[in-house]
Amino acid sequence: MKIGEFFRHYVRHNLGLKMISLLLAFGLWYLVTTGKLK
Amino acid sequence: MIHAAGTWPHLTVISVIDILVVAFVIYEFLALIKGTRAALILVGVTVIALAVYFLRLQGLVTLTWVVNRVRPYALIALVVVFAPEIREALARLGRRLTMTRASSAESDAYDDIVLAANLFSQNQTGALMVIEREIGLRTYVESGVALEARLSYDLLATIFRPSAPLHDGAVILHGDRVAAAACFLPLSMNPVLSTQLGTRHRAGIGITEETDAIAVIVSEETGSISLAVGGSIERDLTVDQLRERMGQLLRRYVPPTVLPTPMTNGGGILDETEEEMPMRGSDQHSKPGGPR
Repeated sequence: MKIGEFFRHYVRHNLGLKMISLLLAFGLWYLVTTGKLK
Repeated sequence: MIHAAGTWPHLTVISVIDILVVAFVIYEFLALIKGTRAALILVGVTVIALAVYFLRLQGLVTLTWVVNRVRPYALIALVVVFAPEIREALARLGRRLTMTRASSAESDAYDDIVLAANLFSQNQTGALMVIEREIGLRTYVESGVALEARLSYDLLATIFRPSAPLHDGAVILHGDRVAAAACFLPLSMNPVLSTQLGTRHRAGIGITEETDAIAVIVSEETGSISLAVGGSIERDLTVDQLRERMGQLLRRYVPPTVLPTPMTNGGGILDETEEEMPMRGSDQHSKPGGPR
């Protein structure tokens, strides 16, 4: 599978949802690591 | 290793992997509930959680006490509310791990569904056919009339004849068998569904919300063909589109077939001739879809 095809198929699909998930995961990691979420 | 200024924690390679794994879990969950009733529930729960969090910051002692008491039960309540989604997620995981695929012997019979949908569409006969996949539909099979008959175009055409006793309800297909007819299905309560959709369509969507089944629905009013899967519906499909989608969903090639075309005679639809259905195979003996 070419890189472009891979990008279209696995990365661009539902990109907004992937970005939101990444943001939420990062936020969660930050809160847990800094001890703000126990 | 990255060390940002201020109170930012260390970002190591392990941390990045940690974040990516959590992001993957969140993404899978969000993708699962996207467009379903659970998404609206999640928004509501998030709003309440944020409101409670900010109110607690203001030093509301009583509210904090209540939240602390309720929190353990709220977790259980969330599991109960999202039970269908959790079930679906675990089933999806199981499917990926076992690499389950529809066997070609079983899925060969599905061409009959496409042909039957074409007939119902031309005749404007209401029909609801549910194709079982990995999650069993025994509960719904028991609500109808058990058949355990070999799946064929003729059988489907006979079941959904408006005068037939079994035409009202859903037909459940299990492999190359018709497990049952006249089955009751759960209606979808999704508030974002079009108000134009009637009970048959809502039942078709409802079963795909609860399970991984595929529902093929033919409208009695318009003759349009719809396909429901995963709680969402694809409406006004052509027969070719239905064949293509079923091929994708069942992971098999559904060969193109020369479809019978309607011949009107004073408003009625005549029988198809044998010549019009060269791909039907040896099981095509009768001529369904006669004048009604």
